[in-house]
Amino acid sequence: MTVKCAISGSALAKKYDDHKGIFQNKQRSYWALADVSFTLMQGETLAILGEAGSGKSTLAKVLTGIENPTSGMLMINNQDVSSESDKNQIRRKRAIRMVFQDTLGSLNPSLSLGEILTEPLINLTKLDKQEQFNRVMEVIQLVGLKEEYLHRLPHTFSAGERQRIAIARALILDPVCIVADEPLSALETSVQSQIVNLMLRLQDELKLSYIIISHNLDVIKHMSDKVMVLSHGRVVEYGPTDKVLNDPKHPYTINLIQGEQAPLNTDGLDLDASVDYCVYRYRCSESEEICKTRKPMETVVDERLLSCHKFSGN
Amino acid sequence: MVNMALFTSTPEHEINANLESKWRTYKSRMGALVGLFGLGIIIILAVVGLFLDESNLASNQVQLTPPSWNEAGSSTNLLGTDLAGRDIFTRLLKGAPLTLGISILSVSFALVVGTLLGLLAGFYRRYVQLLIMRTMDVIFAIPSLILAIIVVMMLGKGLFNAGLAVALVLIPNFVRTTMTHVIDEMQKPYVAAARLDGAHPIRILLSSVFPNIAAPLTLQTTIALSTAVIDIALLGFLGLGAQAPLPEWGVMLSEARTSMHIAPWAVTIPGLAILITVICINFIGDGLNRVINHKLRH
Amino acid sequence: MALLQVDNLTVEFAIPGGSVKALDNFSLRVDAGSYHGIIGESGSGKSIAMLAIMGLLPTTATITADQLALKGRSILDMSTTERRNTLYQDVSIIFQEPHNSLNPSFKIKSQIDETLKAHGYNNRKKRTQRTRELLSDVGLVHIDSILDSYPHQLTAGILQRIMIAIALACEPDLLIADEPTASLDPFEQGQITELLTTLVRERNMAMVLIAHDLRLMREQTDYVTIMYCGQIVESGSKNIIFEQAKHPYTHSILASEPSNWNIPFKSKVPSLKGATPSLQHLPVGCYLGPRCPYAEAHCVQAPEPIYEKEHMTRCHFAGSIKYDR
Repeated sequence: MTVKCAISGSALAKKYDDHKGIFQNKQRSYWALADVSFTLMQGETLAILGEAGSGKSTLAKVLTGIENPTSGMLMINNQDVSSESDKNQIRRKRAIRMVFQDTLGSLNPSLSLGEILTEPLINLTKLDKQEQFNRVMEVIQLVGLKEEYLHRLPHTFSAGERQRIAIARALILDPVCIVADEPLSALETSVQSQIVNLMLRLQDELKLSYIIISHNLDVIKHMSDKVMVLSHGRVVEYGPTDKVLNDPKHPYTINLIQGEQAPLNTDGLDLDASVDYCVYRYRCSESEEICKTRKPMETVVDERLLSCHKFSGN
Repeated sequence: MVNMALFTSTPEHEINANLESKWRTYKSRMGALVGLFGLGIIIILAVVGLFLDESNLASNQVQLTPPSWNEAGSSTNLLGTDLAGRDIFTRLLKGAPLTLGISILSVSFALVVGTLLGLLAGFYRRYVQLLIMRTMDVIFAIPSLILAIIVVMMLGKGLFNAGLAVALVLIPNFVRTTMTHVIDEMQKPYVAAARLDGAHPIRILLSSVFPNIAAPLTLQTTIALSTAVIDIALLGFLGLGAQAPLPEWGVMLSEARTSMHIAPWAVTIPGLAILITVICINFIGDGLNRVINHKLRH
Repeated sequence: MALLQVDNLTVEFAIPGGSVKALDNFSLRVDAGSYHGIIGESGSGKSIAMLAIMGLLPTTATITADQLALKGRSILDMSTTERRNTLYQDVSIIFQEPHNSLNPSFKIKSQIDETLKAHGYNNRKKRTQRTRELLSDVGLVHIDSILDSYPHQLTAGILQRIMIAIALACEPDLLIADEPTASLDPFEQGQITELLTTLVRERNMAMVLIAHDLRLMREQTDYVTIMYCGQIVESGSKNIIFEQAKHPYTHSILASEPSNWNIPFKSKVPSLKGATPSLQHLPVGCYLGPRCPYAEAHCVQAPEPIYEKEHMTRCHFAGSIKYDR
């Protein structure tokens, strides 16, 4: 049985133009993401690791379609969906779905469960009312909710149930991949386990792929096949989970994992895409002259991709 | 395995107690109930006043009779008569639809226009927002009553123009309330989720954003209504709004002013009518405020 | 004589249609210098217990207890105001959100000043000196610029340190910390936790830490109390709880802690089925009953606490369950 490549990204980049001034026409642009590439097979999970401001959320936005990449290629089931044509937008929205961290804020407070789940079907499919209802019932049972809940409003559910609703909403379009941005952080530990089990079961039954953004290393170790470490929007280390987490090689990864990475202060940093230096240069304890003047090449070391002068043979 | 039914104490209460619990919160404030009751009565009286015939307004009655509870008064004129011999009670009833009615129309107009502008400003950000907000800032900068007076002077005196002027003055409040709440709601993840669900921007606005700003808008409407009643009456009093012989309450105040020392009731009664109306509206607003904040806290 | 003795503290709130028992027979004995941890989900009563002791609950709360005493002196029959005034010299409490505890309109300097004045530091010079002392005790370096800032200009980590400094101003015998690190990023969490432990050990202060991170409990505390639906389900010394836990709920929280997952990759993770009941619809008998994999018919009778040496378990089967499910 061949396992298809579900999603792949190639040199994805995203530039933001910051508007300032009273007429908001002075610009200061920065690259929130640059040169991000990955492949994700069917049924695989990729974890994205990085501190706040590292570009994880931007990546999630670019993949799900909230934003469009400034450059780079995105393939779904080996089909190129990078262009901004309407057809591609719809394809992307149906194939890559998102689950948010905020369980309450991500559900429209004035819509019932049934209405929340029917919304994507109304907008992005051509199903008639009966088919929509059937699909909603199907998905409800998959995530462990009941038909009696359909008329209830979001605030009447517990946090765990609301995350199930969010997963149901993601599943309802039969996606190829679900991007989950810190799906467990707002939940109590006992509920976290239930949601982890739910996600694992769905992955097994439906051959779903996940891209999980998380800072919980134990959860990542248990759920993910691969890990991608982002710093300032660039990939610094990318490879199999057990390699990256048990034997990290990039200085940033090492610091993150040991919990000794002091938070990022973004004031005054200019983040240009065509940089000729290593983005981690100012905070790296092993930074040398070359780190400030030359962009590190990506090299493969011990089954993982590394972006660091220590390993690029310099 | 254990029979789980043994462990359930009470069955799950129907979670649709939404409206019921809102009413209970509203009821909990005595003033809110009084306000609702009071305004209800006033509105009924206003409707009666609309259809009341004009007979008692004829100036054929004894001038300046005190109200019926005074020894010099009589029961034909419940609240007495004014300087021109017209029955005050009838005038009050006929004036209610004028003062209150135009206020309601005025606020409705401001609500619709203000909300629309606010939605646009909140949704489109950048230049559209800039334009709308700067215009609103100009209106805000001028004290509301003075602006109303200026507008009436430009448009010409009259009850309808007074209503228009007051509407104009009230619009910026609605724009600001709507805009800030729209911006707040737009930041929330569920709006991003709606976009991911393929919803068209207008659909997002109507189904995602609008229902969640209805509450603060309702509150703003009650505030605006009480302001409108006062402003319309005030313009009437100044002779810029309704004109005599219309029985608008502000006009009644102004007409009765000169004979205040011998016929205090002719001034006091319309004044009380305005006061009671505004207090009722404020109490209702207070009750609504509690309902909204109560919901937020949960 | 215990520093703080709480026996069977119960808190009920009046709600439309009846009342809710937010805390049911909570007991705690805090000796000088001991470090207690309280674990539980939100709604388990852990915060309510501390607020009740400190006199910080609203008047809609009815508080009853067999005993509530600070340093041997009963504080039970006092009004909440009286209780606050009695406690404030000896007990300090810090909360989860430092932003909510500081006034956004005043600079840090004036807020610390206010606290010091309330604790009798009338001399201006002494206050300045004490302020510097306190802030450097909590590990802050750029003291001048911090004193001159408003709360919104400082990070959560720094603000929480300031809160700790303020809490220490009166040299309390007991410090209560209600989820002090929950809003901080992982890096700061570790630092603040270590800071608290260092401070209490140095000054021989007693400490009650409310958290839901089991690892913290394991490393820092002497005694642990586990709560569920307003009741204590198990409590004892740290070693006993972590190595010989007897209550099924304790077992499940230990097992569902991700760092304890020693199971094959992508396999099913240990978890309790169902959801925590709301306090208004509690099950009959043992509250964990519907979710407990070891429940039997007579669990519909509320279990009484079973006491062994320094170990209390509220379960009919304490000690006799073979934990294999």
